[in-house]
Amino acid sequence: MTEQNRVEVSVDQLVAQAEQLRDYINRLQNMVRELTDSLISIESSKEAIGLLGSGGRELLLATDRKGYVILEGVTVSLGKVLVNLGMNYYVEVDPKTGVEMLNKEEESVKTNIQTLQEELSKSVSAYNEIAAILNQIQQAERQGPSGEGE
Amino acid sequence: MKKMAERVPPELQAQVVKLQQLQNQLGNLIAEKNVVESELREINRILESLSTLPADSSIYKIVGNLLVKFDKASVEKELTERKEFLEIRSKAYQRQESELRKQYESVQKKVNELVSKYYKPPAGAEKV
Repeated sequence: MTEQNRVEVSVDQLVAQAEQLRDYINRLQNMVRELTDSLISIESSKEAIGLLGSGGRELLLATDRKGYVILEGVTVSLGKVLVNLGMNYYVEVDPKTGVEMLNKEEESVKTNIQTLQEELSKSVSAYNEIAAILNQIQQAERQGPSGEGE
Repeated sequence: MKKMAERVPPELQAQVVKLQQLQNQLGNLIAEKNVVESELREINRILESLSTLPADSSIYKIVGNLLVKFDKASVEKELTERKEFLEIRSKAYQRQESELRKQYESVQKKVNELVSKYYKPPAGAEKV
């Protein structure tokens, strides 16, 4: 076998590589979680526009996040909604356009999740390979050097 | 016999330190470049959304706890200016990254040469 085909790495380097991958995997998982939350929010927004569009619907409104006080109300016909464009910008549109914009955003988020999932899958495979090598080294060390006392 | 790590020649040590510094610089630069490119993607996405909306659309921007009203044209102008500024920065980062990578490769080559020079395998040792 030629020198070029052989790559030597120390156990420390493998451990460092595994730690880096673990960190990267955590970051990817957090990003997937955030995007999944966004997806749920988009779904809720679309549902709300659909439900409240016609007006005359009774609802209860929490005055705070923990729901210490809840007010009773009735919706009026929904003429306009503000849709988040990103970077703190909102646009005022009719509900139909709002739903269309949310659908586009939903597709974009789904694509991003898919891309991240693919990257996550690759990273987990690489991590598992390194973990398996480290496992083999550990087992070999436990068994001690072969052919002792010959 | 002393281990390789115990007595590293100063010449090699200096190059290794230089290599680590370049690696850190490169890491920081790539992180900054990613932030800029992420914002650029976001701006392009917003501009694309705005292009499909009527000219008289009302745009609101969150400023502190307020939603301040703007017209579509002024928002497009502001975002386009920001985009142009970020594109210039992105190109500058790309140039710097390319330069740093060249330096890194050059120092890495020196390190490899020095390792070969100072740590030759013992005579008669078989290469696997």
